[in-house]
Amino acid sequence: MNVKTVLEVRDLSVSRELDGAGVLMDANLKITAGQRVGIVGESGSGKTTLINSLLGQLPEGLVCESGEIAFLGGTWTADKRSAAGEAMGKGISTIPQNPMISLNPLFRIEAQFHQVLSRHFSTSREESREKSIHLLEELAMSEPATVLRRYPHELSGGMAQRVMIALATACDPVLLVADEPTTGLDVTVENQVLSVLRKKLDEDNRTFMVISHDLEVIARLTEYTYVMYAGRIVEQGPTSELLEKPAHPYTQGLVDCLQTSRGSIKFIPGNLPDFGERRLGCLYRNRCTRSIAECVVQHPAHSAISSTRSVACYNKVGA
Amino acid sequence: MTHLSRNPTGAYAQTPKQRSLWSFLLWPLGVVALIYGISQLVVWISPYDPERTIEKSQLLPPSAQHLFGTDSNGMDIFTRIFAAIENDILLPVAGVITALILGTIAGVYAGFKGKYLDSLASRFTEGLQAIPLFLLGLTIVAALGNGATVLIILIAIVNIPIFFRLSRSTTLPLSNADFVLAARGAGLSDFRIITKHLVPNITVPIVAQFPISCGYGIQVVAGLSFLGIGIPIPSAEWGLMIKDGASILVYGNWWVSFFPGLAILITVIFFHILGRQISRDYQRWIAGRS
Amino acid sequence: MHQETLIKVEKLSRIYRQGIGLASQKVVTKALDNISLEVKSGEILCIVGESGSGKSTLLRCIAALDEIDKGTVSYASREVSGLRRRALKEFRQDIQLVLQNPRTSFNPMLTVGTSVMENVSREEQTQGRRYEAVQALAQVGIHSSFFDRLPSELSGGELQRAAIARALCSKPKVILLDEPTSALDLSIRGQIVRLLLDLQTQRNFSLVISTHDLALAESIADRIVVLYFGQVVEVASAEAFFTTPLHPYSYGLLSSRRSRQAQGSGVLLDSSSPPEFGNQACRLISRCPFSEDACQNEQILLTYETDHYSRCWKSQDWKNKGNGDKP
Repeated sequence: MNVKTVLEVRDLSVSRELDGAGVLMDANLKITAGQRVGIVGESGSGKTTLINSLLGQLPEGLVCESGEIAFLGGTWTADKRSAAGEAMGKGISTIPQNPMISLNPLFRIEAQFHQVLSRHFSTSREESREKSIHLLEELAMSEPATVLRRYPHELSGGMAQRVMIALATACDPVLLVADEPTTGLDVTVENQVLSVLRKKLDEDNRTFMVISHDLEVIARLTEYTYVMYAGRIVEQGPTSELLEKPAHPYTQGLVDCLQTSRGSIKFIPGNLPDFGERRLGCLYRNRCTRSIAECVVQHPAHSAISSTRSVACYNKVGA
Repeated sequence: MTHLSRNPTGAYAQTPKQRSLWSFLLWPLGVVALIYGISQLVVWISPYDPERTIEKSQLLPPSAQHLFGTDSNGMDIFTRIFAAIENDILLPVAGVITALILGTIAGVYAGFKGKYLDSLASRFTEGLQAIPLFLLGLTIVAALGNGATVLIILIAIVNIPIFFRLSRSTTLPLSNADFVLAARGAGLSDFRIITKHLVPNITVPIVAQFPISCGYGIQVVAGLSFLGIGIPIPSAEWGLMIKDGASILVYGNWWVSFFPGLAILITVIFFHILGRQISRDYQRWIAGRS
Repeated sequence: MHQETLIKVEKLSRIYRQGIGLASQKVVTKALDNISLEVKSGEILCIVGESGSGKSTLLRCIAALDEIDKGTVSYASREVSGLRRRALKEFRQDIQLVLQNPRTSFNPMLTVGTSVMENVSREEQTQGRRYEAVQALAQVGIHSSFFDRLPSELSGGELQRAAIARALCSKPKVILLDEPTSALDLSIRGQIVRLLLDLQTQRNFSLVISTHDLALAESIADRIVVLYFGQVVEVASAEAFFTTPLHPYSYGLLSSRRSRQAQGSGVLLDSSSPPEFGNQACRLISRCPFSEDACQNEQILLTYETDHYSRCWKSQDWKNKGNGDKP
């Protein structure tokens, strides 16, 4: 069964213009139709840069060294912002991290829906309103009519994020991307938003990518995950397998962190290496409990564990 | 020591960060001092006294002896242009500095403490700003007489509301900032919080405003002198000089008004560029530290 | 085990008024409504609640960094709002507040070391003060070479540790932390928790931590206070709370706690808006599936066990049912 590839990233490398320090190195990624993919990594792991490259929004000061992105039949390099912009218009929709920043504070919610819907479907105000009520109901928003009349600052974090989800899915995008969708939300609200989002994804059978530092979010929303560390993808595989039997020590560390309780507080000691320190060898070795002699010499290449999994490590967990 | 930014797009992540905040303040003042020094040098070297008439030398056009010509009183215009720098640049600068100090102190306190102090000070400065400039000038001159000191006072009065507003509006968001709360939590006195946390963060918009106000101040001095209520004759002052030549311009004696006019133009543009350069400098410095 | 009470909060209320111009109707929110609680020496108290519950405001009022409209906060038997000068200075040294977002709690223009040094008592020489600051940074695992770095050169986790070091500099007896881990990556949160626990064991100060994350509370708390829209709805020891919660809101929070199996609970629906001023009914009424007419009356904090209080009059029913089959 030939499943269509929606997005493919090949050997993407992005570095800092100033000193050539690697921000993202040799990233390879593939998303097939209907697949829900997660990218997990700490702040500074390069995941935001990866997303920015996809959307053609690489900030000043970063330059694409190599690699290309293929989406919907078009291919471009990360620094060709215009090409990326066009492709984006055709089919990638994002749910940004902070909804309060992304919503225009001057307009009521219904106006913002209308702006989006009328451009894509040429709806009238009434039609937009109906459609948006329907969208919000699907996301378990009580009293959507009231919410529509409000201004962004009158919404709570959870409601605003649901509005963003509705806006992003309104135009039926080919690929839906969520950038840290629940960061900043209370745990209780996060729970609701994740449930509601997962339900919508399942219903629409949407191709989806989520980036987060929180493995919990990834676990709830995805079926396939890429683990990033210090600019590199260090492990990838089906989410459930990764959670049960992680192969890379970093993934193991992240999984452990999910199970903090009174007796045992789990964390990964240390920090990501600074940009200037990203040189030879495996970049995780300073925090790794399993580092061996080879780890110092060169960053490990990916080796396949199974047809769907691969990991970049000399001393895999469980080896 | 180099700055190792955690932000991948910290554009100047490797520039040394030794530059202190004071350097932003000092160099515009240094520039002004330099200009003044040059002007005094020129006057000193010149064979002509800027306030003394020369026999039978009225209205001579520009020549080798009188580079800019002479005016209707026979005074050498070139020398007078430079002598006027004292009145036309130093004076407004003094006035603006006074306004800067007084206005900023008031503005920062008002922005930080708020409530009654703020309301009082704001209403007062608004009232001050509501008075038309020349009306204010006339009143003050009528009360205190002509002269340099009076002009300094006038320029200070006119500019205090500007610096007050500026410092107040930049202080307001800062006074709610987390790090100010942390400073209060550390038990720092209000005075220390203001000097250590608030003032350094607002200095540069203030300093960038300084040359702009100076440029305006120059026009005020020249304008008032032109009307006869500024610097008294026979002092060298560009506005006065323009007035001198205004009535005789039609008769073809262009140089009497032209050179002082040009001087004002160049000076105002210069200060404007200075202000812009300070702003840019500051943006880059901040970008390098974030 | 009799612990000394360090801080006593009695009937604390904090009211925000928003006048709409000259209109006679003013929008009033009760950020804190008649809160009473105690902080004992050497304990770790967790104040649990969602955004808008008032926990940040509560911490600030306790730290005397926000105004108190009604009620009192007392430290060492003296009212905090009445402290001046010397006494206030001493208070500030004894009670420290660490804020949620480490990036904004440091002045971006000053080096980390200078900011940390701010908290060291002014009575010593600069050299001595610098030394104290370096020591404090070392205690939290930050190398002395970071002393002259700017905040932008540190990661979020490192900065938060520096903020804790800053609090330590004044040798406090109570450290208040407002959502100390919310702004940090998951893998780093445990570092902070471990650090706080270690420091607390060494120096035996009291910790008051506000959070919306019950997993964090579970990992660190001795005692729990649950806040809902400015009211205390449950107070219990950590053990009692996690085995037999008594208030429906607590139960809702517990079932939303992170776990692979969490499906969301029936208690918590959409976030509701703050209750109207003057409305005496139980604040959970619109979201609680068990509400009855009796819930319209003013609810008070009832004692169900020693040191276990709940603001729901139905708690006894559940207590009897046992926690296995919670409604």
